Amino acid sequence: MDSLIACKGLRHAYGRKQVLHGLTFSVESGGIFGLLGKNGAGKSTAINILMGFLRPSGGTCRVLGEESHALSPEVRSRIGLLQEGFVQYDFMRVAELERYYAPFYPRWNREVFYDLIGRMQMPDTRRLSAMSNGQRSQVVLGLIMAQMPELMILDDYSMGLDVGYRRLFVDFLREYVTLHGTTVLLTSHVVQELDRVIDRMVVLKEGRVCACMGKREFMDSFRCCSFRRTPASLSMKSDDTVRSIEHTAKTTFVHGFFSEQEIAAYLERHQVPASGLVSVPMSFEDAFVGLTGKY
Amino acid sequence: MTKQQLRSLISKEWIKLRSGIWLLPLLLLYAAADSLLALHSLQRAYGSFGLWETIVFRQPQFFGSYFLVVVCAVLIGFLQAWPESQGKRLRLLYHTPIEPVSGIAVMLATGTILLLLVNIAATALFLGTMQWFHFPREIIHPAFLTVLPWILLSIAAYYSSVAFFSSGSPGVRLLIGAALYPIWNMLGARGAYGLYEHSIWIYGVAAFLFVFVACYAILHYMRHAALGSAFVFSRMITIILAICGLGSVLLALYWKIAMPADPHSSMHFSPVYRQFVLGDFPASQGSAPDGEPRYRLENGTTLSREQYRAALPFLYVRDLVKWEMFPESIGGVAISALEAERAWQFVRLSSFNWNCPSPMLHMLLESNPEGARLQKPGDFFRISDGGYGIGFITPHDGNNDRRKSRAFTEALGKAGFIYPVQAVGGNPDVRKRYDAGYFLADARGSLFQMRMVDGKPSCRRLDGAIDGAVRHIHVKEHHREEYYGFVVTDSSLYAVMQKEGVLKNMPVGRFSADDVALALWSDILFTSVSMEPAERYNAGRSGIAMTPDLRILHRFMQPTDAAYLESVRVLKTFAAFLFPVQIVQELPGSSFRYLQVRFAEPVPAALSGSVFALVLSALISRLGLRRRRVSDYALVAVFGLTALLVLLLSETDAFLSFTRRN
Repeated sequence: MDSLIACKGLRHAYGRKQVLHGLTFSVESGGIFGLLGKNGAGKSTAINILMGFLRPSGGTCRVLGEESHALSPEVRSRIGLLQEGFVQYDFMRVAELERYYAPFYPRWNREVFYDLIGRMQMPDTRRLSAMSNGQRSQVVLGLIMAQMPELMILDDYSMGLDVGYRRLFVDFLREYVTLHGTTVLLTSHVVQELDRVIDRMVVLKEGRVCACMGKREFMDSFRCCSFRRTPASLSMKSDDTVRSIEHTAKTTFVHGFFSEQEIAAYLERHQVPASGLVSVPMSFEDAFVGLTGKY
Repeated sequence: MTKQQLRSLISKEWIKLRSGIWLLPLLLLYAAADSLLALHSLQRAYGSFGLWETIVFRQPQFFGSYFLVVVCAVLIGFLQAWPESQGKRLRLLYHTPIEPVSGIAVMLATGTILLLLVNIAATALFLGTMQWFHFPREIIHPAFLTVLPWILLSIAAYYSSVAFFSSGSPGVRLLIGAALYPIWNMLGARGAYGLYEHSIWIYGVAAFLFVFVACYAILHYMRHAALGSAFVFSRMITIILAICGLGSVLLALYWKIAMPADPHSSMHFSPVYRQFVLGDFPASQGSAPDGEPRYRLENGTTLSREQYRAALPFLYVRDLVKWEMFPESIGGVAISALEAERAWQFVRLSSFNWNCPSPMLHMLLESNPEGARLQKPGDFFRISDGGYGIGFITPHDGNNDRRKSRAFTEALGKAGFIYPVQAVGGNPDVRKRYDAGYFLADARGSLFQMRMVDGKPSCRRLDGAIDGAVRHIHVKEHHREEYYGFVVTDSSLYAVMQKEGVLKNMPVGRFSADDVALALWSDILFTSVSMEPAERYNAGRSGIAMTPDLRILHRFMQPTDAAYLESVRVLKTFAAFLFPVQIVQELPGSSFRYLQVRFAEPVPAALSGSVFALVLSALISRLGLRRRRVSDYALVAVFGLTALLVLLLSETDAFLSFTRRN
């Protein structure tokens, strides 16, 4: 498969503060790719580099074969970009927006746009500034879809949307991707909803990639086990096997890419009593928090 | 960019502009109505002639409302830039599949065209208003030259407002302010008509350079991404404009603070001592009162106040009479106090009088009025037909009085006048006792007197010829009837002797019409001249005493106060160190405005300033506060500390984020 996005050793710093420490990941053609991470993980910086608004301090980031900070107009026309907060020319009316963008995209499909607008039963004479956040999100999604892009980059598509509009947005996106085979890279703060959206993902933690795989593979291989809390368990440190450790009053929880047998052997090796060791079932959100930690 | 894309971008500009574009015609109509009503009220109060007379001799700013074109420019800039840049909307421009510079160019071109249309409409309304009152070209042209700087200012203001509203960066906004403020002061200033006559194009170039400020402010948003030569070039121009602007402001401020008080002094030729007597009037220091005046003779002999006044009996006749000190004779000539009081004449001539816009129209009085007083005529005259005629024009309808024009043109010709007219001068003041009419220099350098007697032309040629191009003819009737006035050429001063009807070259030595301030004293015994250049600290004052028939009797050179000269020299050296390149818009001895960029003198001080700024810049860079480009060092090398200051100002964003992080 061709890589639509290929980041290699991507580094970035604001002044002396290093925020990305050599990210390496790629996004292949087809499907929905999630770029996940907690606040401050470097997600926004990575997205800004991918969108061409930042030049990385080091490493390379290529989007559709070109350096992301110097994308040609031709390549930009193949990328549908949703800015965080559904930034758009809100002084324009719906029809004006459609007319404005159409000449810039060779594969512009106004039927796709008006199909989505039509579903909202909203007049195309309405100004974007007069719309609710939800309505605006649909218009912006419609504009991106009408571009018929090869790659969509959706930066925090869920920001400011209630659950209904988030669902609507995801449903339209899924439908569109299935129909047109567009590749999507997205970020969102609402991780639990990504479970039904993304196919593959890269998870950032403190400016580093801590997981890059298919979502199903992640959910199959990432485990949470609990056992009785002891002084030895309290002194455990996270490492390559145990990605995070949490303690409640009586129980210790460990997360990592291991099986129940592997973690039992690990605890024995580290002389941590594993009485009551059981596997704990997790949702996608639980697994994400287990991987990245609560703090 | 395809035609459809261009159309699309233009439609976006229209969508942004439509919300406020309707204000533009309203503002223009207000400006037109305001100036029309101002002229109308003058006409109603003083009549058509009074209106023209007010405009010609008082030059009121009746068109002040046309400054609204600048407001229009700011409005257009706001309407275009604000919606484009709110939130993170500039990102939309950068992601649009065209070169960002093309998108910016369409935005600025649309605004510029709209602004030019606004200015064309304003010009049409202005000219229409002037035509309504039948003003001739001679009035319209200088008046329009006074509005034109505002039009140029509107261009700079438009680009600056686009830049200001497009950028959220404090550093960029500071640069915009530094660049715009001085040009706002220069072009927004109100004054006599037509002062920008010779240099308006330089201001025009400066105004259009602000397009790069707008480009820079918009491109600055993407400064962290890949930016091409457009960003680098526009940044360079913006920083140079800010350096020039800030430099001119700081330099003016420097001189306001540092300039030592000019020591006032007087120099008069004494008919008693037969040498010049000098008065020094120390300037006040801060809130302290002025120091005691000191009086002395050329040779340094100190005089008391009474002795000083007794040395100048014509000038201080009343004091001397009061003190019962007035002599029975002066210089061997018996004279009464009453005679002495009326026996002298004083004339000041300055290069500011002729290095200024020419009079718009002339007013030829009737030299033989019916009553005792002179009266204003019902018309004005001008030099017409490219200098080959005299044209009288009537204010109530703006028409030429062909009959009268022909009569005066022919009368001059019959008197031997060779057209074209080289220069003309007169004193159209009805408060004077008699009228000498106008004096005209012809193509061969002969001087002619033209008067209107009983409504008919009376012209005569004066004896003597003028050598060189005539810069100015100064006419001032006086009860002594010794001089009609003076003729100024590039390097000579001629007296127009009234009784003899001849021109006499005054032996004033080194005379430069470009830069001179001259005071002439004449009484029944002597004529004296004191002369100095406008920039006094460069040279002293020379005094020449002559006989009434202008033979030199005595010369004296009064050097400028040495302490004053030294302090000015030190201040100039320090100014050169601080501001190696200086931007000024005044020329010594000229009322015209010239925008000039010049390397400061003394050159070694200016070079030292540049080197010092370079070293300081390198030190700041080494401390890790800022990594500089080669072009930045080049700017610092040329513009010195001002460039460094502007570069630091442009880095306000980095400084603010640094302080926020710490």
